[in-house]
Amino acid sequence: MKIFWNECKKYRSLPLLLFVLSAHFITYMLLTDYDIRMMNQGKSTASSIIVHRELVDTYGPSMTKEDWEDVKRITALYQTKLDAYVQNDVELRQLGVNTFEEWQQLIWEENERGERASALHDDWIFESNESEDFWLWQEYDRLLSFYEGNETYIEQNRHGPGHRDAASPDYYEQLYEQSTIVAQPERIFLIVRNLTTSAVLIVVLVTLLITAPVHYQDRMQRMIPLQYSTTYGRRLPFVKWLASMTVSGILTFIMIVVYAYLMERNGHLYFVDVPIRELISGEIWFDWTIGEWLWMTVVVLFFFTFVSTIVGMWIGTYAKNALQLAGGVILAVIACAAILLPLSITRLFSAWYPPFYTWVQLGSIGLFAIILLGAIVYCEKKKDVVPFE
Amino acid sequence: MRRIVGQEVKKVLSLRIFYIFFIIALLWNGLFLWNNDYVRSDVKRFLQVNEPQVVWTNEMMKERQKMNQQASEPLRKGEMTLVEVYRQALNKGNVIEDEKFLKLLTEEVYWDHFIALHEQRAALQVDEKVEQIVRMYGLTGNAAATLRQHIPALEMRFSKLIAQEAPTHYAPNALFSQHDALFGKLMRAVLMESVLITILITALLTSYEREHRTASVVYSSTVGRKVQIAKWLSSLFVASSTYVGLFLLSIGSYIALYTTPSLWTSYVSSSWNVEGPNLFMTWYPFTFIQYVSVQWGIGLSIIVLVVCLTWAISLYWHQTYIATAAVIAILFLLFIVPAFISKSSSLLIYATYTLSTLIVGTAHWLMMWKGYTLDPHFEWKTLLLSAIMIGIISFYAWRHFKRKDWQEVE
Repeated sequence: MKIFWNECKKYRSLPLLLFVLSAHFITYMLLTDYDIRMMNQGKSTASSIIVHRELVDTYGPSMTKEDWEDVKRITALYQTKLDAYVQNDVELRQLGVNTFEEWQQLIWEENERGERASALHDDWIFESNESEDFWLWQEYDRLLSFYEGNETYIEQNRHGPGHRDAASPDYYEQLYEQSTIVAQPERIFLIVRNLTTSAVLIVVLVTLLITAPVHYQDRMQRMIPLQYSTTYGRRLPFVKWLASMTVSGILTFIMIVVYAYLMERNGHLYFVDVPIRELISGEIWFDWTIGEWLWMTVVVLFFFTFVSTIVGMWIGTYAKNALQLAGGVILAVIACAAILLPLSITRLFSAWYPPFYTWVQLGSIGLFAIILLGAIVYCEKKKDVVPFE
Repeated sequence: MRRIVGQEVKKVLSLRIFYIFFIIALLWNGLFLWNNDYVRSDVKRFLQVNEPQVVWTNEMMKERQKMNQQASEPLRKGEMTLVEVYRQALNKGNVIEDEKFLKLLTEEVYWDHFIALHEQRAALQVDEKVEQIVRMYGLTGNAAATLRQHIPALEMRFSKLIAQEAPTHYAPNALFSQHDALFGKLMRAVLMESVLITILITALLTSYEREHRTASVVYSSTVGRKVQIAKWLSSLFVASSTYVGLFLLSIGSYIALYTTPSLWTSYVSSSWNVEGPNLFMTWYPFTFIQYVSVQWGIGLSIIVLVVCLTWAISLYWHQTYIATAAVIAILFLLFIVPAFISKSSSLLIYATYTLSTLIVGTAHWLMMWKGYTLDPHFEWKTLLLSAIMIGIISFYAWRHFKRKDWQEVE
């Protein structure tokens, strides 16, 4: 246990702490800031979130056909308000516009009247503070059109796989059954899925960044022969990995807590009970809620912490010079960003791919990591101390 | 000194990982060339089939009158579409041969393009375009005013470009997708790979003595601490050679595979090089080959500056891993600084005059429209400003290094 703590203490260094903080800060600004703050940014997104919240507040996480009828009524109510606005506007009346629908059609006309209507429309929706009703109506109308259109879409696909080859008719049958009872969380799920992808890259980056140099340091200080000649001997590599895993695990845990706090503060966690699988985008193989997806993300993050510590240990243990060490870490991060993220993380449990797609990928990565760890421990056991010097 | 520089260069060249990096970079670029559907199929086929048409159209564009005479009558007058011509021929029992059809099609496409070109030119208002950028980024106050300051210069260059007929000169290379593929994606990849290799080798060479515990011996020799000057020169040589190698092999492969000699003398700004709000017009009437050379020059300047920055930071830390991470972190931090500045402050515009902005925006070098950076001298100012800053850092790093007591360090 004492050796384990001593190994853990190696991570207690100022440069490493600065690495971790800088890496988190940079990746937050480049990758996650937008998705964290997006919930309250822009009139379109903000109004979309307001509508989603209203749906959850009024109907709960699931919606019935009757609820959707109610949504139709609300949409019509907003339409009336917009018509009233048009009828009270002098300039629009001069253009001969009497209803909001007429105005919407006129802006596409390529003549002087159309251009004027378009300019008024742009000024009103982007510059004016009185256009809130328009944004809310737009979001209700969008959801409604998806709801109505998707019944047909699902109906078309329920007897065959459609364009998504991996999805079976059963999948669509199930989706069809659910289609009338789910609120539309597609924007929230999109944000949450982006956050999952970014979080995996951040965990891999930070873990590799701190693990590799610590393992390399012992070797460069020529401590390995001395360490292997002690009574503890060749069990040390495994303990070193355990220490790496513990420290990296703690860092991952802190990161998760910080992100959970930010998500709570920005309103992401308001939707934890809303089911993901609906008609617009939530095509995943399991009938999870947003909250369950977030728990799955936590598991995936610890899984990649486990894999990254082993890869970091491998780079640090066998790098012959500092260039190999830094280059190895950079290559591993690039490989994660260029191969792992697009081919695996963005497709986690997606119904666009066969059900076993994610299991096989994660299973292979896990197996590779375990074999690599075994190989490192085995090779270190066989290594002769004399040639070290 | 020359002998030491040679030895330092040999140090890098004896490392297998250096070649591995170089080959991975080449493979990545090769994969891009192979995987780019637009470049691989459309452009190549277009050029192979239509090379004579390109030459023909380039001549036509200069003289509208001539164009009127040679373009097919009903199509030109807009009395009939190509599909109608084809259908009419079929109704009459005359099957138009594929080759003829292709010629007609090309003719119509070029004609439409020509008309669209003139319409776009007539419609484009420089001040409106600037206002569009101001609105797009939500700029207000001094930030917006700083951008608006460039309107007179933009208008002047814009009218000169039109007077020089550069924008009317047709060249398929100027199509947005191809420009984006070559000068955006491929050139950016080459530059980023070179920057990465540059940071690694410079940090390694500068930190070598400390990491191998030979610092005390080396620094007390007759050459003394000037050995770091030799290391700087060696890094400069290897980094520049790596960049030139990657540039020649990657961009050269692109040019060899997907361009033809008629293209090399075509103007980059031609056909407006436009897609949606993206408008690529160069500040100067560069031909394709001239623009490639300019890209090479600016890229090389960036590499030299990155060598200096890494060298200076390594003189402080003397650890390859830390120096590498620090330089990469600095480049990223420079990139995200504008995110913390108010959208009404002119500081926001000036914060983009960084190496990172240059490295990321290869496709926009010396272009008129590029977001915040509308300044006609943006590239030169950024390089000069960076050189001054890095020069000051290097001076202090060198002074710090010269005064360091290595007995204490070791």
